[in-house]
Amino acid sequence: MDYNTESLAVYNTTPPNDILNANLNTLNFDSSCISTDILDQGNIYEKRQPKEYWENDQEGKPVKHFDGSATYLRRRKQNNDTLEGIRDEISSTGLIDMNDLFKKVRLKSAIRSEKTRKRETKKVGEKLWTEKYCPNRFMDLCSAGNDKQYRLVLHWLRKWDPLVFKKRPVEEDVDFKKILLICGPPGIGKTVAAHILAKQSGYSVQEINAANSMDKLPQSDTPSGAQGFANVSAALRLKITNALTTNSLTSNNKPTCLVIDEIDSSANAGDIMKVLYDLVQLDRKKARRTTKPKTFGSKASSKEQKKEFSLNRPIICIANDIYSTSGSRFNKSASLEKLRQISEIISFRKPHLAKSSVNSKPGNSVRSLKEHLMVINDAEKLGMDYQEIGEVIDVCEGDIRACINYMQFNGRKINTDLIDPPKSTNKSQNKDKHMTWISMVETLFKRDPRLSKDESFNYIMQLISNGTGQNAVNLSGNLDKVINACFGRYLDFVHFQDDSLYKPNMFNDWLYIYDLFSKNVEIGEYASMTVLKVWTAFSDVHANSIMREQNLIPNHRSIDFETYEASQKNKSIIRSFLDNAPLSTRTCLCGGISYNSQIPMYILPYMGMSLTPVGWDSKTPGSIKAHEKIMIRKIAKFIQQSGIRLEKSFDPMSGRYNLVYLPDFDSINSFDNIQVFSTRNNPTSVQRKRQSLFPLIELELEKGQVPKADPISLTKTSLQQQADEVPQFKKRKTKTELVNFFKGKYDGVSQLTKSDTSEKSATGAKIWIKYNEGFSNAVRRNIGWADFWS
Amino acid sequence: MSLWVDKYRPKKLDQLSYHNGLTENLKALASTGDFPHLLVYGPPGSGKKTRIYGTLYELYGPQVEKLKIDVNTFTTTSNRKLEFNVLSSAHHLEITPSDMGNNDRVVIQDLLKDVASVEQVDFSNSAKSKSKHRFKVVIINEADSLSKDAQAALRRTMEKYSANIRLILVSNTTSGIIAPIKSRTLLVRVPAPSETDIADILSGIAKKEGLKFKPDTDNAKQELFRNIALHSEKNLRRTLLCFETLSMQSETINIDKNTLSLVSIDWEVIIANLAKSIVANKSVANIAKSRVVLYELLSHCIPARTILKRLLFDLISLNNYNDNITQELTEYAALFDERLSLGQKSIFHLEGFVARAMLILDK
Repeated sequence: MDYNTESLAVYNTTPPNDILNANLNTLNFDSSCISTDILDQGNIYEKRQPKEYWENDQEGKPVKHFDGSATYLRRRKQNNDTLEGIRDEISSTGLIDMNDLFKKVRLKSAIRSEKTRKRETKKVGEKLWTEKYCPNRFMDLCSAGNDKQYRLVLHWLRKWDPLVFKKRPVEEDVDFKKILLICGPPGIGKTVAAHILAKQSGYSVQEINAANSMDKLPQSDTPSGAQGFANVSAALRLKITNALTTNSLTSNNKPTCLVIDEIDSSANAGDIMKVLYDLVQLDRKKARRTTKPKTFGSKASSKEQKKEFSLNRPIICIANDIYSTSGSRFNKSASLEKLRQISEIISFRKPHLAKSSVNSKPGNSVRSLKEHLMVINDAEKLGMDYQEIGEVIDVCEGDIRACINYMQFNGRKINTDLIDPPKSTNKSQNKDKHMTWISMVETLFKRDPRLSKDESFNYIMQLISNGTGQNAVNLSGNLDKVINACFGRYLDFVHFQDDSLYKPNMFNDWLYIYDLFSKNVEIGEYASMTVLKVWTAFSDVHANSIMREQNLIPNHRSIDFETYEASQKNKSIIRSFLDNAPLSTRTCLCGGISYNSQIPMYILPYMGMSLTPVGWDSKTPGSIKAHEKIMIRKIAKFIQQSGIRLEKSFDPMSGRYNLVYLPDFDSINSFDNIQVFSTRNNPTSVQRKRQSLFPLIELELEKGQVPKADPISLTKTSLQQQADEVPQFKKRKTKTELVNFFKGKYDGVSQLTKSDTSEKSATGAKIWIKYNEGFSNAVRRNIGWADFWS
Repeated sequence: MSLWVDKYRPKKLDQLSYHNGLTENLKALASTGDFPHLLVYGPPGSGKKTRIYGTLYELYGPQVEKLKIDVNTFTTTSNRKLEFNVLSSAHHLEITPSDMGNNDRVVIQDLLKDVASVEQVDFSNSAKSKSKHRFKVVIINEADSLSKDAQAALRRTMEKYSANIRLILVSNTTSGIIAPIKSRTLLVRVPAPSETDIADILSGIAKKEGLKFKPDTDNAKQELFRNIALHSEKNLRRTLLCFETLSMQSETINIDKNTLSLVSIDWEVIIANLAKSIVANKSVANIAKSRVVLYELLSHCIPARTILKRLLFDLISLNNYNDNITQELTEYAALFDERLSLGQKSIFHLEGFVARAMLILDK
């Protein structure tokens, strides 16, 4: 449809109504025509025919819609070129009114530009900014304080080079953890970073996530649902192994890097983890066999050789909360515990919002985030300044994705503001209609000197009960944030005002009321009255300067959440400690067999003391006395029984290697942030003791190893580890054989082909052709060059 | 070799060394072959579970020692899967309701019905008199943390299935347990052992382990044992752990003033320091400082009520047990303890107590 001529015609001709009608009708007709096309392809010609017939008919044609209503279609009046109209004018007068013509042309161009502008803005709106400004290159990444983590990821990917690209055979690097687990709060760029860093290192990324329908796997759509479900684990395994061993045609001959996103919330997370775990075990097996060909090569039959599998493509898993053991929203039997053991963990962090001290500038992390948002701001011409962007970041609590969404949402509003002639400079218009909880907190602490106390109280009252502040205090989540923020700041205000102890006490009673009321649904609405008390008790004319200058609790914004997170982490450590301990120890240590507060309170502290006793700072194997030998034997025995492992862990923050017990209960025993007079659990002295203690314990463990049925894996050095796991591995071998035997033919076939490829995958990876992947009529077969040329 | 807590744990009622009257009663109970539902309560580390297992041993013989852990799965009404551990032998099973969260009512009902609907048939020693125990014992740990719903569900089940099932509830206090349950059970209180009891046990262990002491006199040793007992709040489990840790530190245990500082626990030291700073500096700035400390303690999984209790006792002792102050502090500690159990934000209430304590001490 030619918009230009149409609109001009509308402008020219006096009764435009019928033309518009006609337009409308044709539109209707067209749409119905299209829909019939889609629905019933056989009838398409029948529908088309009347159209031709209808061209001769001036009266109109009844068309039935799907809902049964009929519309009469009249033929659209043929609108000839605009010049025709002009020609008419020429013919009538013989002269052209130039002014008139210019006017028309100007109008025309104005209308055209208007149309195109509208179309453009529409197009922009179609795409989410989070997609639009998703970084594509490493340089585009917004670090937001995660530079170190990025480097660690790259470092980990670099370790794959000898395996994948055959760059240089480095012996000691083969033994790294084969799975990378990235964790961190949502919206800080974990997925993007994983994709980009993998690309940067020369991989093509294949992604599996919770959304891309794990249950619709190629092998799982058997007619009966139950059977399909039972097969899902096998199918998943096939999918993952295929992703790892094959090169797809589209990936430019780059090796694949598998990214498993949202592994903690995926519906079949348990299955994924099981598959990954199995793969790693198989890989270890293979690695061991190649390094020790003398002992095992002879025993392995040719069949086994084919089944063995080596992991030679990197796998990156991404999760929000790697300690979510108690989530139990889905089948969380496995939890991430298993995965954590076999994978390298890198945790991403939110940019630190809390200002560390009074006068310091916001940290580098926040600044880089601000600059990143500023780029978007400039590209979209939002006209926000640094301060406003800072506010946005505050509101979204450092969540980059939320920030961009917020900007997109409010950006539209700003656009309309710009069009309006009297451009409003009032910044508050740019904000959400409802007050955010942060501005709510600010309002609560502020007192307007121009108003009397009653007036301003009424103002706040209005704001909360039915004004714009309603949202900030009535949604329970927001109210919680407001109260927490007030709780974080109120001491500063008291300190500034009169420094009396009465106000904290009084306010604490109100906090109790909030705590009590917010739980109860019936009286929940009164909980927001605590907010009013904040105003009456603490509001101050100098609110801004207090906010800036007073800071009794430096990290008041994040401390609550950090505490929660730390306690969750510690609890999960305790659970894993309990899971490993033998039954008799468990029953007598904590009454029951489950988590018990006695454990962090008494048991683990004493355990920590026993396992790293005093006076071990400078002991060498030569200088130990008889009783100390007994002591070490005792420690070793205990370690062996309770399933504790000794490990050398790399601390990315300090860049040093630490000797720790695993499960690592140091974090429960040591209070790093508080100065304690006893230097008992001082990390450095503990480390010094362990330096001399660990080799001795290991020696003892190895001695005691032989008669024991189940050995303890010592992952200190690869050699020891291998030696330890030999018996375990024997058992497992028979198991996997059985499992493999019972798997369907699909698996059997794929296993054979897979192991073939895995042996020489780095150079001669197989080519698969994919067609309709993920659908029931998918075609997937092996092709060679001959197929291409024939 | 294992921990002393494990190694020196009595298996039979005869081996128990203190609360002899109670032990006699339990023995008499077990010998009749039948017993009512029990509610065993007492402070932690006083030997509740040891006594229960001793009684079970008396009833069923060594079979109760063959324990295994099952992971039961349970599907709730909203189709969520729930997992919890069940510790069981042939004759009893043991559950902890805190595993189950809010669904404890449904789980307990289901589990008990399951157990109760199957009558115990004991083929192994049918000739003996013990075959008449046709019931299974279900031990419920931390019974006071059962929700009111679950307790209400228990009361009917206890009567209905009493032919096949016996319940033993274990808890620290009876205050969390509703009256109907109390009336249906035999209340057994296991008080904490006295200092002399603990000292006896410790000296027995010291002899068996062949420990050496620096001033090797009986008086000094007794003094040390008593001090350890006091230091660990007469919690026998803690006492044993503490003693073992002490023995691990050096070859001979030097008995002097500093002995116990070797095994002091960091969080207790921190709370003691907090109490000192509260007494010394009563200001808003100090409230803020103590808030940071409280957060740190909470993040290390120290229960809020324990912090409160410990802080109260430290404050009282720092004020030389002044009557007025003690009375007032305790009153408010009780108030905030209630708030802790009613509310959810423990930091509010802990800080409230700190602020209140400052106000009281400021007078």
